[in-house]
Amino acid sequence: MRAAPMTFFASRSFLMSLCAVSLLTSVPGDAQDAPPPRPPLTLDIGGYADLQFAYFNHGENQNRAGGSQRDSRMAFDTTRLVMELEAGLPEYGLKAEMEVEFEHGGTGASLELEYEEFGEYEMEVDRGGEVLVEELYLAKTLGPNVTLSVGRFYVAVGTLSEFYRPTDYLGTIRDEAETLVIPNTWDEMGLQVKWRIPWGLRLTGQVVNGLDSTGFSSQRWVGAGHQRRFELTRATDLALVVRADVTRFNGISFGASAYYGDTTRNRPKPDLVRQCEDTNPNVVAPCGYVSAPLLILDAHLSVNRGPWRAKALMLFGHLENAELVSQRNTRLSNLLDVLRSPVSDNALAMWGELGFNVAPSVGLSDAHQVVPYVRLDYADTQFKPRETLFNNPRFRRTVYTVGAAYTLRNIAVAKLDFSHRRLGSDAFRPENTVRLSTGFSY
Amino acid sequence: MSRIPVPFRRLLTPVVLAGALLGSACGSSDGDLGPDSRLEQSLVTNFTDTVVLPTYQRLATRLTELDASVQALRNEPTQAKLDAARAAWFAARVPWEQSEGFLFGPVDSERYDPALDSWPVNRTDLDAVLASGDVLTPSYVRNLQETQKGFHTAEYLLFGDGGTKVPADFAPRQFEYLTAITAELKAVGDALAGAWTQTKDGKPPYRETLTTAGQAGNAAYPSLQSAAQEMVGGIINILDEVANGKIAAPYDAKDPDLVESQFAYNSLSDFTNNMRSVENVYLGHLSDTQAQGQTLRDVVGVDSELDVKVRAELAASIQALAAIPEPFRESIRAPAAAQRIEAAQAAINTLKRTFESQVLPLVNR
Repeated sequence: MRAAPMTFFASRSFLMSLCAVSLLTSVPGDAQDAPPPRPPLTLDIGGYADLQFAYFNHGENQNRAGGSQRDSRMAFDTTRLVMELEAGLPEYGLKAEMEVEFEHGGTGASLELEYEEFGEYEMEVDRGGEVLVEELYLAKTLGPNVTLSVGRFYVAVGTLSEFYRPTDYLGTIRDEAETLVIPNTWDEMGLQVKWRIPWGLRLTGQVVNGLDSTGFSSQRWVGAGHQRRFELTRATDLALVVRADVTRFNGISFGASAYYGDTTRNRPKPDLVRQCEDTNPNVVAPCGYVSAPLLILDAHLSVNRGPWRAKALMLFGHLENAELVSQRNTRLSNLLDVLRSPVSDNALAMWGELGFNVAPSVGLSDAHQVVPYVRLDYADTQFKPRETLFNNPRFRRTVYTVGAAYTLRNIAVAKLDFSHRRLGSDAFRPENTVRLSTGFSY
Repeated sequence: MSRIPVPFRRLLTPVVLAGALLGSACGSSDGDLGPDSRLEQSLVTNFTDTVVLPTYQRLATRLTELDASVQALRNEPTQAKLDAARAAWFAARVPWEQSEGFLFGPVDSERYDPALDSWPVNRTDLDAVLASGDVLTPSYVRNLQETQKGFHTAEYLLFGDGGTKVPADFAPRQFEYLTAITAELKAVGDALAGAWTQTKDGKPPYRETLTTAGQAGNAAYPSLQSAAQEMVGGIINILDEVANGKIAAPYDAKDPDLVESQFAYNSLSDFTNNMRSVENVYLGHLSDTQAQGQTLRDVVGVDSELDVKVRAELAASIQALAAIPEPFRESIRAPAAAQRIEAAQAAINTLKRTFESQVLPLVNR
């Protein structure tokens, strides 16, 4: 899917020149201490970008009685520019990968109109900024099939951990279901092992920092629990991720993943502790913390075979002790800038898209792909909640999308689609959107 | 009115902070008062003890009375009980709106403001709760969205649209919902008043934080100026909000749903009480009490040219609001009222500019 890497080997003559310069600039006595020549380094530069032009027939505020009002508005967005660099020392089986994302074409503080807080203007200093280091890891191959990585990488849950470039999916935007309930895209720090079994099975295991439950809410479930607020990532609660993908069949992969990790000890303050009589003022949490482990399970499918393109995902999540987390979150300081609405015990997200390449039928060469497609997104961030939580239909949404995606040599992309969103009750007005996107992936 | 104040307050924060920085830059480096300063410690003590605490105490008492009157209405749904419950709601609005000139401290950081006063009411969500059949336990109500509880949801249930509701219109489920909400309101009112006077979760009473402004170890208010800036900033925030939020937003959009207290036709009373809040902070006492220390008016100079101007502009703002016909939700669409609405907006903005350009610099010194 990605372009072949641009590989440079530092030539012997280049290295000789460096040595010559070094000799010329060093004092004579140091000549015998000149460092040995550096081993060949491979460099792979890549990146992708996404621009959006959207028309909406509805207002931004979904919290109005009856849902969002009728409106006619447009929005343009330099959605993202991502620069990637891979540097490898093949003879040692080492690789470093880094990926920096510029979101919405800006950096620093931004002013947002936050309708979940009923039309408030929010001055947001975009913690971690709108310039994000999404990947930064060192990888070591251990034999031909096993790779060990340490650093920041994508959490191996769902489809977007693997298919996040605009050429990877057909819609003008990443799927709404997945990006609503879990972080988009979900990167964390930790250790990762990938094992490619020759039969056609790929296993991934990760130990990463867990989420921060102060960001959990009715609207986004655990999606805003991604730690981006502070300079340091809290990792007192770790999470374990396992994923299995069958890649044996050409152009088809499918698999499942599971994520499990606690969330309360990564809160900015130790404010969710067990109450007990035997308190010790010299200990942060003398009787321990309230445990609120998060379990996410998903099954996913990807097809890129012949003229067919398809993706599908079913994701279910369960948060233990969601009520205690919610109760504590309602008392969080304003300054933390979180929603503080109660988080549901369970969430469900499903999406699928199916397209068929018609370029050959209209006389275009293999360099082109023209893929009309349909997509369905369904997400319920309050799926079967506890009895004491109002199951608000506002948090159930179904999005039907039809459109077409054009790609040139799998590098340049232009897409157009129409989507129709319905919330979980007829009392809410449906919302229509037309989007045009363009970008590249290299 | 929670939702709009917070935003404007946040927008103004950089202004106030810039002023604070400027003030501290011009003064001595360690936060001590410079020779030019007119501020005394009794400014914050008087403001806290004579304005803030009595207002919140009154709010807590009236929310308790509202809860009791709604319980009585539920037990005996007569017109007299309904009238009493409505009167209790109106009464509770007064101290709340009169507290909006100082929407800082726990009311902001602990989010008591949106918990009490989010609007507009999302009637679709509210109807869904009524239709759900869920048991309205305290925990359930506490977990509801902020626009599904608080003053204005209670208002909608008590008054209906424009006060047309009669006792026979109440379904048992509505009583259940209403009493659950007023119980929650009462709890929030107690918590808000308590946050200023009691230690909670290891946090000292906010009274202590504010009244020790400028004293060693006070990180929240390292100087008296910073506390005085908070006071003037609160005034500027509410003036901005009334003129450019509460009045302008529904008027410009011609949208009654954006009007605060639209069901009880209490909007202009709310706005006027916001002006009274400004007056109370400026004069350093409520209408029925006396100041016990320095006031902002003293800092400005009693009967000085600026003091006369501030008081005249305050009176003009209140007068301009009185000239708008209630219900405000109808007036925003009435051509005959347009001029009066715009005049009130202009009067309040004039007062705001005076506080920004002439009063704030005085406390920055």
